[in-house]
Amino acid sequence: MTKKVKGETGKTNVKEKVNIADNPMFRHMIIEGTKYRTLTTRKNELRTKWVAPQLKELKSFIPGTIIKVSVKPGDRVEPGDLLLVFEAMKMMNQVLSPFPGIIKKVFVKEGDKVPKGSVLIDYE
Amino acid sequence: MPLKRKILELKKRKEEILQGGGEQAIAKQQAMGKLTARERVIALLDEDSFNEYDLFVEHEARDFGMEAKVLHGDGVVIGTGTIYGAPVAIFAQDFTVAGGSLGLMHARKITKIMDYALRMRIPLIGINDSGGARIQEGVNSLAGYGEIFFRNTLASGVIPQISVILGPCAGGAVYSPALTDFVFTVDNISKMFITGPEVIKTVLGEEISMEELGGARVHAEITGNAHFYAESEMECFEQIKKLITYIPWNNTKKARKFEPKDPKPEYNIEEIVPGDPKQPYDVRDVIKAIADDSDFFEIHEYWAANIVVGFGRINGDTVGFVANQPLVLAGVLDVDSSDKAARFIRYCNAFSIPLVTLVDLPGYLPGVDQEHAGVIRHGAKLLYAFSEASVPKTTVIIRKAYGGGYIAMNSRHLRADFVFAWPGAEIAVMGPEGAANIIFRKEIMEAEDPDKMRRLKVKEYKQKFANPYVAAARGYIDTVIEPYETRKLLIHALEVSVNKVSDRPWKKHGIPPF
Repeated sequence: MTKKVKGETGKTNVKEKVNIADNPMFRHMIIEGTKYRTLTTRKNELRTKWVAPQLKELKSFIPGTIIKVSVKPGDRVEPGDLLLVFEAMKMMNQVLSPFPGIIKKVFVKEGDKVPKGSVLIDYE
Repeated sequence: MPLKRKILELKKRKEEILQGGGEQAIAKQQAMGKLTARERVIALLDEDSFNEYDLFVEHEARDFGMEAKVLHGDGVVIGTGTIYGAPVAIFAQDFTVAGGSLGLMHARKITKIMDYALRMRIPLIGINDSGGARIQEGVNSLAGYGEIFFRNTLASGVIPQISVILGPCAGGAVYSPALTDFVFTVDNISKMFITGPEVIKTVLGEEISMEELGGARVHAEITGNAHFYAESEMECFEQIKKLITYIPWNNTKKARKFEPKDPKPEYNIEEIVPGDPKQPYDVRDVIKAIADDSDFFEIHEYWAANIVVGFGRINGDTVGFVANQPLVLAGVLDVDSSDKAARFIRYCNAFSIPLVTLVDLPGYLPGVDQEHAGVIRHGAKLLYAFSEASVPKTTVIIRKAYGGGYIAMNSRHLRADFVFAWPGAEIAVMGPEGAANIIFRKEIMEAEDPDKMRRLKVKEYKQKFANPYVAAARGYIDTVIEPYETRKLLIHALEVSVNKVSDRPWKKHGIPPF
């Protein structure tokens, strides 16, 4: 049986005889308790593994600049209190506290440029 | 002035316009490994079949010094011609003229040929190679895009629409190809994105090249925006020509009939599929063992490869194949594969192409990413598309057909006209391992040797339920066949389905989950 062989680009570039069962790229995949031998895809390999969110960490979901810091460690905040002014996508975003709590640590100061996903403030 | 001199003047005018953006711009185009717009059209169409229109169109822009600029043909070539004798309407953006930018008259030329294609009910081919909106023409340029998108939607499902990306196609411009039926791309030449690398860098601080962001490979393998991928423009044109042979001119016609041909003997249908349902094989070999001349024209070859879709012929007539691919991700259904198959099924239904479904799947891909990406919503597209399709629908269950996957893959319950099963088919609510663990949980837990008991119970379940006969006893499948009978029965199924009537309630349109 002839089989198309894929090169690194995923583009078919060689045609040769291959015994499918000999392919070293095979992995095992478990579906409903049964183990299957199969190949995987680049997209499946590239997927991000899910991690439970840390509810006490305030993270930037977009890169930007810290314009103003309105809280310091030890401050008690209520929902809606201003924590930071964060400039991103040409907008001055007011970052408000989503829940009541005590500020444990502030990781940024005014003028800091922060990348996406970095921790800005930690709650107790 | 005598007519002779007028003819000379015409020739002179034409000659100048046919130079496009001039020598320098053409040299630049060639340096990028690209053909010019007219070279492309001529390479794609039958010899001497191309007739160009609107050669003498001029823009009317009056701002930013545009009034002094001459843009030959306003940066786009339009016309009609034939491919293997089939008429097509075509436009090709000319990057050598103002970067193929889209102004008011450029857009009017495109919409003119679109209107023509729709009126004449012939396929439309668009070759995209453009820097985007012509900024100097402001909102007129946006209006042009809008007019194109509207016509793409109007023509959708009436005439085949093919987009060929042979250069940049960025910003709003990407939505015309996205609205069409098939998108062709070429490595290192095609580039598609909504926001380019520069904007992404300024706004998000993420650095990426054009090729990595929206090159042909990315769209052919990761996003699924491209249906076809080629390594050169000439290879791409061959793919387009081949596609044209499988599809009808419009939704009232049938695809061209070819001389029937038996499959090639090297594809022995009895030897391709391993008996053990856990072992992989390439389902395309099964398709080639069924299709005329073992010819299978695959669509979306590199994206969502866990399902295979494409055209082949059975007894000379085009059919659409939809098949689970045990070779990749065990052939599971997931977000992308449901999306891919559903769209293909809707294409076939719109253009009266019968469907042949080959089933061998363990179920759905487990994972947080799948659930959060909306596998419920996307998976529903496949059920919707199969249920909605009123073309002749035949299903062959090759091996596993478990649970929701069994229902989704054009089962009797979604109104398959014929369902055949091979003797190794396992039609069950879930795989034997999973089922035994649930049904015999108590016995397994209480046994002295739980592993041994589990194995025993799995075996027991397999014997009783992992076969085609339970489903055959209820009439859910029509008959159990030997693999070699598949082609013969498919030919028969298509023959007896030619006058199929499918009664559906009146509706303006359904609300598919997209």
